[in-house]
Amino acid sequence: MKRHQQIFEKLSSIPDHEWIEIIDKLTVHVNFKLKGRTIFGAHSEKKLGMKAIDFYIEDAIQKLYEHKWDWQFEKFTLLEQLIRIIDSTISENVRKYKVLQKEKEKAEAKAEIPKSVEFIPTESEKIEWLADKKLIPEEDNSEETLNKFNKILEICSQDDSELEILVLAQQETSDSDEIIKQCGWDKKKLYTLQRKLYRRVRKYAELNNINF
Amino acid sequence: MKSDNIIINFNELSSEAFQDDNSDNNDVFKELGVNKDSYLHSKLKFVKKLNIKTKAELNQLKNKQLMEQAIDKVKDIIRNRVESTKEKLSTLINNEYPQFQFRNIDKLEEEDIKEVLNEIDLIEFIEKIEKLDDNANK
Repeated sequence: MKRHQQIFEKLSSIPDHEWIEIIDKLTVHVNFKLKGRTIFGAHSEKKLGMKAIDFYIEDAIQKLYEHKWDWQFEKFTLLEQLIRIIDSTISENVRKYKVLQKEKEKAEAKAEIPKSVEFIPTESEKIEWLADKKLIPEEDNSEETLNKFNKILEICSQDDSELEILVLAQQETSDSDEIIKQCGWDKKKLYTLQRKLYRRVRKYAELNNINF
Repeated sequence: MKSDNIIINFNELSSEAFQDDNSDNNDVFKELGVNKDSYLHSKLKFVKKLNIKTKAELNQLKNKQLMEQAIDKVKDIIRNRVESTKEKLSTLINNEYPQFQFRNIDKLEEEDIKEVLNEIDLIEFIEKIEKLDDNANK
């Protein structure tokens, strides 16, 4: 109760403009964390009951207010703590989803389906079914996909030597400090280049009808 | 983070770049298909609602704990203390909380105590009882 009260006082003393900044950053974080993983599976609207972005942000804030998760304000800023909660909840939901899928598969294997019953699935049921059978992977990290993505990055950076260097650097790491050290840039420059690269990739994907 | 998965690296770096304070991240909200301002304000409204709800719940809990503390103190005096302390408690209740009438403090049940305590400032009452305790101990 004492700790809950203490955390509540801290949370309620945060001015509106700070909350707006925090939610802004959380939205970016969740957006990139779940890129391409919200159409079906653990983070789908069907599974979560609302859009993933709304679910994970509201759930994390609620957990702190209700003291279901301790805000270790001695160690983490509010943004850091909320990101930790979100990342953990995302992992936990994936874990639970995988367990459920396994149980579902076992149950299906046991069940006897009468041959006379004809099942005609809708389009969304077909997608769900393919996803369940792992015919559409939740996270497509196949070599083919990675090669395709590499090709896109190559095309989007070919007329800009700095973007080319950036693409090479992120083949091995996402650690911005390491990239800065390797390339001799400052953080501001790295972020500007990364945003430029992202916008080019996005535009390329839109023009070529690629789901990105 | 060391990873050779270019998609993960690209997304992590993009996330960091768009979270930068000087960044214009309108693209991200556009991708999500939401109006940035109204989206952020709807989330702020959510935070404010949580704030009100939690404040009410914590107050309720605090009040419940104070009530338990006050009841324990009254019961303790009735059961275990010397007659003079009981009399002082009787006088305290009769004088300061005349709306509550009783004849014999020994016959007060927990529900009766709750009834009287519901009507009063619990912190003030506990302080007064503690003074009775202090005086009795001197």
